[in-house]
Amino acid sequence: MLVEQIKLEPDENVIRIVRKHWFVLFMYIVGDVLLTLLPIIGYFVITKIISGLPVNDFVSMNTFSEFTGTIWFFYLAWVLLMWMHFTNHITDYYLDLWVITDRRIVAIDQRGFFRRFLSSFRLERLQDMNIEVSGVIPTLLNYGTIEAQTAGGSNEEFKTANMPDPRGLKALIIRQADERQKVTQYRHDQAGL
Amino acid sequence: MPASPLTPTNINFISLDQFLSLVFLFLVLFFMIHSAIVAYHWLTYGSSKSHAFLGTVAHIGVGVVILLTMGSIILF
Repeated sequence: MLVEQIKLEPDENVIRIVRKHWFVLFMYIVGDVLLTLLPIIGYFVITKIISGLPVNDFVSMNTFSEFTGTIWFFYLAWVLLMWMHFTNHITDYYLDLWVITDRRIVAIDQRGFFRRFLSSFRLERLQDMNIEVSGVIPTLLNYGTIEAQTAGGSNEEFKTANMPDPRGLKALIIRQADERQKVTQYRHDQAGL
Repeated sequence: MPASPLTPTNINFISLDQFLSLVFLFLVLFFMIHSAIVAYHWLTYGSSKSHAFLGTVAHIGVGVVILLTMGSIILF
């Protein structure tokens, strides 16, 4: 599972696992439900148009009723494809996360099934954290972009959008970074004595 | 050489039932491969074994119900 994949150090504790805000998942669900219903809406629109045509006797509802089984078959095929599409979205949501431990932050970015980015930085290297809550819905539901800037040769930045409670998350990470710095400073001093 | 006219009688069509069966087999195969990939990802990279297992069972269960309904449409 995830913890074995990250390979925690001895005495390293996971403090929090953070996924994107539930509204992201809600929007996926709404989009997929609308796509699933699209053929039904299309069917009613087409039958409405046909019923209003002067060739009503020639192309009538009977034309459709002859192929009811086939229409249902293809609609169910569409529903199955939409179900798989929804599962892909759930996978993206479920596997895209930040793992905050008492020593480091591991950011996992899952893009589809075959692209997975796993990056981590130690809390001692944390230089700055920025959050951005932009828009009406993110403000009301309290989610936004969180960005961590780290010190080091590469000046790496860790940025993830749609994270829940970015202010609380920032406070938690900064508190952990401060505690970590105290521990490393103490060990450094002890080694110097 | 005069070109022979293309009439529907020169083309061998498959029947609707055969076509539906082919689509069905393709979907079964596609769903099986997709489910194997989903199960692997959830059970390998998921944060909770129980959530990953329940998710996999739900995904396969719903898919199997849809496929069984499609199969019954072909049969009856």
